[in-house]
Amino acid sequence: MLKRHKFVPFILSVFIMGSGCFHLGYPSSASAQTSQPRSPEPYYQGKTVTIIVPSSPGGAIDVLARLIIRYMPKYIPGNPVMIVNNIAGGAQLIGTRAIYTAKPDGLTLGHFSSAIILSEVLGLVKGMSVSKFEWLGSAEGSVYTFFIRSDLPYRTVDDLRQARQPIKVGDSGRTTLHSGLVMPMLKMLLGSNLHIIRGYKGFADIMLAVQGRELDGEAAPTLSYYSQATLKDMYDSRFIRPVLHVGGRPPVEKDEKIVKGLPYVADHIRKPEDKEIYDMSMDLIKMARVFSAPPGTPPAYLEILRQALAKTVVDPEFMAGAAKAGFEPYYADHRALEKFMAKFTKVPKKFMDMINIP
Amino acid sequence: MALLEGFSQGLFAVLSWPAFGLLVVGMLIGVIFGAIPGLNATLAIILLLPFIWGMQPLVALVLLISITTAVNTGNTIPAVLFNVPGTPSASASILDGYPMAKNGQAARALSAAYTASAIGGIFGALVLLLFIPVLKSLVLLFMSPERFMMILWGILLIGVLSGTEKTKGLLAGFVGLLISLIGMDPQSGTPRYTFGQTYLLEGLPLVPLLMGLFTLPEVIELTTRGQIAKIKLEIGSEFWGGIRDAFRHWGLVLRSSFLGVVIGAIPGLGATAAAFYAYGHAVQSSKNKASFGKGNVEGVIAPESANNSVTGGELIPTLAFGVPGSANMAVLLAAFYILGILPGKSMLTDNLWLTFSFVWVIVITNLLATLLCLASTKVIARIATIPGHNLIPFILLFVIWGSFMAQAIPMDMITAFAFGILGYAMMRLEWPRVPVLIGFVLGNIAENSLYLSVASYGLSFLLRPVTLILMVLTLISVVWVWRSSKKGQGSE
Repeated sequence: MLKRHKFVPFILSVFIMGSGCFHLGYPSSASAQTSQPRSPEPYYQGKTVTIIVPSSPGGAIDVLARLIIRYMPKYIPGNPVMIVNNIAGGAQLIGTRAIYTAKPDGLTLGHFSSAIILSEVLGLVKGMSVSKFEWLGSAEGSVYTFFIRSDLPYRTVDDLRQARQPIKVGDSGRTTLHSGLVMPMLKMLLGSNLHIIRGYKGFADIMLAVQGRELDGEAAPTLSYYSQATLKDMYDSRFIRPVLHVGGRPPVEKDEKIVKGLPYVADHIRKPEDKEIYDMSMDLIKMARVFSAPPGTPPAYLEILRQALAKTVVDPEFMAGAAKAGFEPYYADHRALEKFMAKFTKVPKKFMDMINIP
Repeated sequence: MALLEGFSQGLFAVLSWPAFGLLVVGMLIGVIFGAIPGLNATLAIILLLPFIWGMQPLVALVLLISITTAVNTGNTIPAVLFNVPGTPSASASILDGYPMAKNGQAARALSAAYTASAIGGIFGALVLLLFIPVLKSLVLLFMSPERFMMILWGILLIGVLSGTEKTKGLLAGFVGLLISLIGMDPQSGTPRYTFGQTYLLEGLPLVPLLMGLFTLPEVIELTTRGQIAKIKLEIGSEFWGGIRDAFRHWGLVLRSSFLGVVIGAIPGLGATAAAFYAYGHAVQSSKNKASFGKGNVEGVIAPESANNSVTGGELIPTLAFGVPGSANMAVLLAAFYILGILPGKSMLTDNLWLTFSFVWVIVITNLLATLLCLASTKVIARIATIPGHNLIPFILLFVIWGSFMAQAIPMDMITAFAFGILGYAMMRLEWPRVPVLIGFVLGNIAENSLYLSVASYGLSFLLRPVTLILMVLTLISVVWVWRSSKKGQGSE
């Protein structure tokens, strides 16, 4: 028979395992119970709402979610505790599936890139249908530009189209808006002579490669000209210059400083079918980061959460924190998101060709 | 003048209250998070992020950087005592640290590791300090072709670390390279060797692989061995002996620290690779090659110097370009943005004093963490004498928990056990396991940087000046290994 002291390590082990789950923000079994909405007001009292972020900590999606949870609880009746749980891996699909399969009790939400649509169109999404998510809204969107190194002789759309040497641009993954959508669009719809070099780890690495003259240019959101160290330095020192206003949400003052006077890509796309694809792409950029709830979340809870998100995005303290962290809040409600997601139920062949461009 | 002013301003800022108090708190958190497998600097910073909103930037960053720094000192404890690296950057320290513990020299291994860590950490901070004026030019020297040559040099370490079993070592390294190819093909963006599994889309994770390959086989062995150290411990003399070892091998400590800074400054390589490069260098340059893997103190000193000096190196691209070289730096960068601090030119002009204060934080934290760990060594080293049946549940817990905590995906635990089976088979059949790990860590980035080099420069990437220098160094290294191996065979 085992002596009693031999159980001590086992009991301690179980205890520490439990505490580990707690730190990761896993809802306790009591809080994860599904219950029907009876009286919506007290439902969130004393509860914990978890926002699952399907990427590693530190990225823009993660930081924005952490900013939201600071201010959103005060707009939810019952003022619940809100936490962020990062479930990275599988090109963001593991975390996204965790949101999709979570109990639809209004206590688990998700925050991810609208580029999840690209993963679905590329056939990478298995066991879920992105269009079935319950959408809460989008808190941030982008305005995209295309810039080029100043020592290169390209200034106009025609220059980009007729470049003798292909213009080398970097790609950090087909399931990102920046690389999977904007760059192929500039190549296919605008006809720019781009040589897309795949394999960079992220946007910051691409910027470093431009500064080291390994690459010639890149598409970039306007806010990155203020917040991404390398891009800011290159722009301030005129090492690079923006040459195209690609599109996205309506520009605000900060965006205008970058895009003012630049050729607007929409003006150079003539064919109606290309225009349709351009508009679909710009919708993805306008609603770059989306909040969702698992399919089947009761409407009463969704209503509370949607209203809370809408109020949070215009909260002065949230806006100040967002500005400090380099975000420009842009709210799109769930109806806009649903309408936009509906467009992707039948994807035009040309869109498929575009995102599969070699 | 501005440099001197920033230097002293940075020191006074760190020594002011409450910054210094938080430095001490951060150091304590760092040592604890390093010592417990599954916890790491990234997790500590994430847990503290809610508290730093609204804090003074200096105070918040002192706290976070002291955590990042101290983790690399604390992570040696489980590496030496249980063959479980506290964080992946301590992986190379298990290769000789644990055998030393089995030989009854746990105290010597720990005190040598802490002393080397302190020297390495301070060296890294000083290099950061010296190179502040030329930070940008330094990082821009290492584009894709130069990175590829650095990685190629690392892959050649497989030959060095295979000992006398070169063929087995190369085959094991090849297996590691193959495993590293699992995931999304970075060039075509299509899944590769994933068998339709979403789990494999981003490739296999490092921590479960490490836990399985190295720790689980030792747990199985411990069940029959009874306890880690079978001989009587001489803790007092071993403790001072370890400190003397670090100073006796000062050349190795400085060279390994230099390697750590350089590798840290190249985005994408990281502390784990740095520790293995330093370990490989220790084997290559030692007069006593045969004792590596059996408890050679040089095999502890080198990786520990390198993984602590990495922090200074990693801060170079983070501060100068906003390019995080590792997961720790990615979270630290997020904290910069939250606090409204923009990395880049301003860190070398308007906020120069803040950059200098980071240098001071690294120096002071390394000293304090080393003193704390040294003070506890005599007690901690006695763990090596605890009966195996009391230790095994904890070690298994570390393996399971550590594997799970990295990504919070249950599949990671299965991965750890699968690699545990592979690791145990390799141990029984006397195949070297380190080459598998090196192949895995470097394989993917080698493939990627080679592709980017060819795509951007064609074959002329081989003619870039720094690439040429690195190529010559790599060739010298290969010849050295070949000649040493010949000499070894001759003496046999």
